[in-house]
Amino acid sequence: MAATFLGYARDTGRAGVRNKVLLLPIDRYSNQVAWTIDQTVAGLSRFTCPGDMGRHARDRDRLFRIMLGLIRNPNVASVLMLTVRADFNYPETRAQRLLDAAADCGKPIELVTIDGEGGVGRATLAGERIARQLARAASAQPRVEAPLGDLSVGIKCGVSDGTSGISGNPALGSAMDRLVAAQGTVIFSETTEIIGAEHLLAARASDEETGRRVLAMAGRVEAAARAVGEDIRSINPIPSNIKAGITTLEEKSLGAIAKGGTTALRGALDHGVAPDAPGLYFMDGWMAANSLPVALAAAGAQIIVLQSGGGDMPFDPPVPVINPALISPTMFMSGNPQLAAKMPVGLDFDASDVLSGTRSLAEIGDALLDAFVATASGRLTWGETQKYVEVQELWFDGPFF
Amino acid sequence: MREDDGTNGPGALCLHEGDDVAVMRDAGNEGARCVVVTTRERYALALATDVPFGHKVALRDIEAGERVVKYGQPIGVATARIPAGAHVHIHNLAGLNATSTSAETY
Repeated sequence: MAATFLGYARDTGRAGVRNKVLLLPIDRYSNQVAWTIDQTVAGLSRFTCPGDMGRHARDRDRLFRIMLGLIRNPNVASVLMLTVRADFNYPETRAQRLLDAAADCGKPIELVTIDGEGGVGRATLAGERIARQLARAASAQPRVEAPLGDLSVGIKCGVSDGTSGISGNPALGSAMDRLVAAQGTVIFSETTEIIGAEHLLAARASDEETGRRVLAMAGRVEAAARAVGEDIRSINPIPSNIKAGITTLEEKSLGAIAKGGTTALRGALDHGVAPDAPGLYFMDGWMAANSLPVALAAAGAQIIVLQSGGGDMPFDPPVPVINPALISPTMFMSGNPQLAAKMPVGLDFDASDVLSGTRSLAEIGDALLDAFVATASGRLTWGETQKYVEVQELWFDGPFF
Repeated sequence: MREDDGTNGPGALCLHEGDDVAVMRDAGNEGARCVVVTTRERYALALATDVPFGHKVALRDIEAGERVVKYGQPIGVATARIPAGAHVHIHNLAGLNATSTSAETY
């Protein structure tokens, strides 16, 4: 089991596992400028801004936190921020607030404004020039040895089935216990998926406030479903879970919390907020696979893992979410031997030996942690071998106006 | 295919002692001898119904209204009698709070 990985040292904080130039439009008008720059400049990671209009102050603040979290993520070497003009947005999401809040990172953050450059065309040309400089500068930085404890892993579940809870999730939990023991950070989420098991999770909290927050987060989801006349249990488990053998939400949730491992829960984070110390965290969040990974990246995760049952997936499926975290690679794993057999390309880790009984959980946990280290040190995930980037849909509370 | 272990039938895995159900690691047909592997033992169980891969099989007779335990925790309530060896799923198991909200008024 490796104690280090090869990463990109940062002036402050943890090392990155990638060295991304983040192209960050902070309003909707600037999305087009960013898109055009992205067509001509190689090696950029482009955010698409959903904009702050029609949103209340708390949701505008969430948008700010996610954009700030992406800037601060150790995988980001530098940032090209784009906006119409300095005071175009509501105060919560303005460029200066982001620049101030990210100043202590010490990473280059360049700002181009459409008004300041004299229109979209000129802003695009100015942005291209800066983006090329940032991309070239980032490429010159070598990887250096970094402690395993610098790693933060964000966890997403996908296409849960009967194998998830007894095979893939415990295997991942075993690796995450090892990462936490090495002073690393683990963040799991999907508030819908702790319902029925929230009391068990709350009991693992290292302090009372964390336990209370976990219960409150689960309660809010139940209440939100009731407000639209639904029992959350009729929304989740989803049809493919049921077809693959999961019967009740309690069952799905009990299997789901195994993926975080067995260590004490250090905190219950608001959506997209980075923890301030190592350990295991729960983050309030939506179950959608095109939404959660980018929020986990905003919370500082340099690697996302998608633990999939996959019992109901077709033959030779594509990776179900492709580069959904923009700046953090996504490892796709499963503990289902049928999925592994159906997927000759695309599975980053096969944990199905737990189900067959041919390797112990501890052995699989070691092997999985080694796979995280290989990814951290630069090996592409199968998702990263594809250029496609899934469209993001950020999670907001609403209501919308 | 796994090695012939004397039963040459499907297998089921139960990682938590005292659970009422195990998860099938192969598909099994009614009447087949299923090898159940738990944390402390390994025994044969005759399947009372077909049970698909990844689905749950009852390890004991469960009466309607009884709580069903998996992962050491109740995952729901039996809505019908479930004999040992039978498929446990939405036709005979419901979530613990599945009907509680519909009775409440807002």
